Amino acid sequence: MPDLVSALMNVPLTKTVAPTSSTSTSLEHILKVVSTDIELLELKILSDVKTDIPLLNNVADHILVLEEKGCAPHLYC
Amino acid sequence: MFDGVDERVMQAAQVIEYLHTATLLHDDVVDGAETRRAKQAVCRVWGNEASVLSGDYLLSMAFHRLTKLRNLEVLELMSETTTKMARGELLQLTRSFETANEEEYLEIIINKTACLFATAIKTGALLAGASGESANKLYDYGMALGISFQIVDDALDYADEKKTGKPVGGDLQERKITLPLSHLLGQANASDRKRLDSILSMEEIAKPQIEEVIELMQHYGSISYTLEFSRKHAAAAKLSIANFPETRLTKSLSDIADFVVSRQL
Repeated sequence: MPDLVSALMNVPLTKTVAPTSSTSTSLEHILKVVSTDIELLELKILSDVKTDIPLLNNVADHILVLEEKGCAPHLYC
Repeated sequence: MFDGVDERVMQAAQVIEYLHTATLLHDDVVDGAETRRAKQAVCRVWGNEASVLSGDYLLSMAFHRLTKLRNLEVLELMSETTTKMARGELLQLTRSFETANEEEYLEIIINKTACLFATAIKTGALLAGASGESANKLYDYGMALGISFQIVDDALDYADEKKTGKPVGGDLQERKITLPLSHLLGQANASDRKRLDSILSMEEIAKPQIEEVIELMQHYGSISYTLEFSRKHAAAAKLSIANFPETRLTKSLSDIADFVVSRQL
């Protein structure tokens, strides 16, 4: 790990690749190319985490589902 | 470029989401977090026990689903990654401000965040039939993207609460080693350093002290420095995939790198 850290510390400070898109591009727009896969993934997760333990179902619904955003919040931590 | 998304790739994506969510449930207990994903943290609603045990359940479920893929390379990669993530959290917990430097900070964020990004994308590539060389380039992309993401996340901790939806200075209150603070401690003159040490030794760091630290960060350019550090890793991410054929998917990967450094700033 220290070798990897040293190597990453030495990444040149200059921008080697210029931005290819406007920085205002929204995440929804960027992810559009995989939106069908993401929707399917969300459905699979929601059905897969259902158990006979109500507490676990409540926790899963709470943390895996975002209101108006579907579940699996992708780049949101 | 590779084969498409099939059932195995989809299962691997589920595993990644379970692993990630399990770590969030555990981290929120460790950090005493109030909110998560713009909602009350699970530990605040149902208690620490529920948060830890639900995290354990998701972690176990992740590895159970993983065994069904019957792919030893992916299993090894994920096992190694979860160990690294736990290591990153332990490093963050045990390292103090006095010895904090950029190298240690980078080691922490590689372990606790970036390796999951890298593993997620490499796993998808391997299961979609990518060559070892292409999968490794995508691993490098994920690693650099994860580093860039976490650095911005740490900068946002000192940004306007209205932009992030999270209380300002949470990391400072928890005495977490992050790049903005590490830079400030390294740059501050003797008088400011003395004041910073005094703030950091307080039992509770309140809003006025957080504002004072943010002012010092502005004065010493710590946030600008942090964001430049993030940008260079986003550029490195894009460089990792620069030789891939130009497709909608590779453009999307490139755009994500741009998005990560521009979000909410």
